[in-house]
Amino acid sequence: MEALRNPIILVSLIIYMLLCIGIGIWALRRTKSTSDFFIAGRNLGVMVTAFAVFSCTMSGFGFVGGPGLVYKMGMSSVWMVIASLIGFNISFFLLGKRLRLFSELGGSISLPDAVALRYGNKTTGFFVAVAIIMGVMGYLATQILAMSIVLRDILLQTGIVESISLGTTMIISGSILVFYSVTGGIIASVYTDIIQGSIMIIGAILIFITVIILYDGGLVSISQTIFEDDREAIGPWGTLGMVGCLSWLFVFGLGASGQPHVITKMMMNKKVSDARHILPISIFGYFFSALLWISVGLIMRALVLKGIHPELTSADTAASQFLQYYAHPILAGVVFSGLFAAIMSTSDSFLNIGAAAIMHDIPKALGIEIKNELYWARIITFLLTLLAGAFALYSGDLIAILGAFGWGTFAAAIVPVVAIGFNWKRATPLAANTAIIASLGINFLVKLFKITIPFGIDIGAISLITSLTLFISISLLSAPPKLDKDVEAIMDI
Amino acid sequence: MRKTFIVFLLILISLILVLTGLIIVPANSIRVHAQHDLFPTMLKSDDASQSELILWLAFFFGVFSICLFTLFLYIGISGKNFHRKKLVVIVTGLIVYVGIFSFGFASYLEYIQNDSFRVFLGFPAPTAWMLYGIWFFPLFFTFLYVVKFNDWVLKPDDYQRLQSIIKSREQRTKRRKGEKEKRREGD
Repeated sequence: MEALRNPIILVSLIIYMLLCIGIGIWALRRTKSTSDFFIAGRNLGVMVTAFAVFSCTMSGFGFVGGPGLVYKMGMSSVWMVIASLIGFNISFFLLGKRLRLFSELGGSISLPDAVALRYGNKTTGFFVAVAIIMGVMGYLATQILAMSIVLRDILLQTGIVESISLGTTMIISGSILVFYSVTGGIIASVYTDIIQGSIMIIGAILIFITVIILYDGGLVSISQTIFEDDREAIGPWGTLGMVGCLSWLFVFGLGASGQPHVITKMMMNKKVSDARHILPISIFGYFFSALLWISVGLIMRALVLKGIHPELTSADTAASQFLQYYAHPILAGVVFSGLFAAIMSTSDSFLNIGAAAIMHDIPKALGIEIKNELYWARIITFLLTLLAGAFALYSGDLIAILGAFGWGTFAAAIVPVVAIGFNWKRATPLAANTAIIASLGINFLVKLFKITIPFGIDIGAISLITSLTLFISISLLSAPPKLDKDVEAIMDI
Repeated sequence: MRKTFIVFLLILISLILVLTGLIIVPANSIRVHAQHDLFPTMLKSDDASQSELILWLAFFFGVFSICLFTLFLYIGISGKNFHRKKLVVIVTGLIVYVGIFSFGFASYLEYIQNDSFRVFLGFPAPTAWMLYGIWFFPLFFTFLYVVKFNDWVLKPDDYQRLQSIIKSREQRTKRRKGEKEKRREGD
C-alpha cells in the first residue's frame, strides 16, 4: 500500500476535481437568473446551507495555516477555533432570521443590496461593496496562490512531473475553480461545498484518531513533550501570550458576523425557520474539521522536539509533512483533497460576492443599469479570477498586505453596519458610512506602515472596537432616522 | 433598546480603557515570543512580557469581550418588547461564561507558579479549562436558539406577517408604476 501512496493521492485529487466539474455542468441547467447565480434563488435546503456556511468559514487557512501556527506557536492560534463557536452563535442570533427577511422583502441578491434597503441609502450599500472588493482581492488572491502551491507540491511529491511552475499550477487549479463558478454560480459553489465539507469532516476526524494512536502515550504524552520544552507553548495562550490570544478571541468571535462570504449564505435558505437547524449543523461541521488544525500542529511540534521528525523547512508544511509521512495512504489522499477543497470552497464564495459587488452593487449605487446581468455576472467572475491570479503572481508585498486585510477588515467594516444595524432601528447611514471608512483606514494604514502593536494585539480588534464605538455614538447623537415603512415592519419581526 | 445600547457603549469604553492601559503601562518587554533556540521555525514564549499587571489587564479584556458577546446575543433575540425571561437566561449564561473564564485564569496563575505537570483529558489544567470550558460553553446558547426558536426568534405567525408586508409592498409598487405610466401618457 505504501508504494501506492503517491498515485492514491493523485487519483483522489483527480476524482475530486472531476466531481467539481460535474457539479458545475449540473448547476448550469439550474442557473437561469442572477438570483440563481448569486443567492441560489433562495431555495437551498438545511444541509446544503449548513455545509456551505461552515466549509467557507474554515477555508484553506484552517487546513494549511492553522496546523502551521500550532506547530510554530503552540496553543495560541487555537483561540481562533475557540472563537468560532461563539462566533457562529452571534452570527445566527443577529442575522440568521434578519438577513433572510430583508433579502425576501427587497428581492436582494447581495449583502450591499440588503444594506442599501435597510438604510434607505445607496451610499452605504456602495461603501459595503467597496469594503467587500478590497477584502476579496486580497483574500481571493492568497487563496488562489495557496491552491497553486498545494497543487504544485502534490505534483512534485507524486513524481508525475520533475518540475512545474507556479503559473502552470495556477492555470490548472484556477480553470477548475472558474469553470464551476462561471457555469453554476453559487449553486455550483454550495453543492461543491457539500463534497468539500464532507471530505473536511471525515478527513479531520480520521487524522485526529491517527494522531492519538500514532504518538506513544497519546495526547498526554504530546502535551508533556511540549511542556518539557516550553510550558507556555502548551499552556492556554501558547507562545503569543494572553493579550494577543484574547484579541483573537474578540476579532474572531465578533467578526464572524461580518464575513460577507459567510453571512450571505444566510440569505439563501428556502425557509426562514431553517436557521434553527443550520446553526447546530454548521457548528458541528466546523468543530470536527478543526480537529485537524489542533492535532496535526501539536503532534508535529512534539515529533520535531523529540527528534523523531526533522525540523520543518517552514511551519506551513506541518500538515503536508504529516500526511506524507504518517497518515495512511488513502487517508492522505482524502485529506490532500480536503486541503484543496477547503481552499476552493472559500475561493468560490469570494468570487461570488466579489462578482456581485462589481457587476451589481456598485453600478446600482451609481445609478447605472446593467442589462443581461447573468451574462455579465459570468464574465466578471472569469475576469475576477484572472485578476486575482495575476495579483497573486505579480503584486509582491501588496498581496500580503491585502491578504492580512481579510478577516479583521471585514469584521470592523461590516459587523457594526450589518450585524448591529439590521437589529437596531436607531442606526443611521452617517454612522454606518463613518464606521466603514474608519475601519478601512485603520486597517490599511497599520498594514501599510507596518505599525507594531504591543503584546501581539490584533489590529482587527482595535479597528473593530473603534468602528463599533463610532457607529453607536454617532447613531445615539444623531436624530432618529426615518425608516421605510416596510423596513420598520420587518425590523419589528 | 436605548438602555441596551448605552450598556453597549459602556462596555466598549471599558475595552478602550483596558487597551489604552496595555499600551501605556510600563512593561519589561512588549515582545511576546522569541525564536526557539534549537528549531528556528518554532517560537518559544518570552517571560519578560508576563507581568502580573498585564495579565490582570488581559483578564479584564477577556471579561469585557465576553460581556460584549452575550450582549450581541441578547440584541439578536430581544425583539420589540422587553422580555424579562430572555434577559434572565442570557445574564445567567453570561455569569457562567465569565465564571469559566475566571476559573481558567486562576488555574493559569497557579500553572505559571507551579512546576508540576497535571493534566485533564490530555492537556494541562488551564488549557483544559480553555478547551472544554470556554470553547464548548457557547453550546448552551446554541441549545437556546434551537429550543426557543419559535418563541424567541421567529414566531409561527411572523412569517405570515412577512408575506403580508411583501404583498402590500408589491401592490404599492404596481400602483406607483401605473400612476407613472398614466402621467407619461398624459404628458
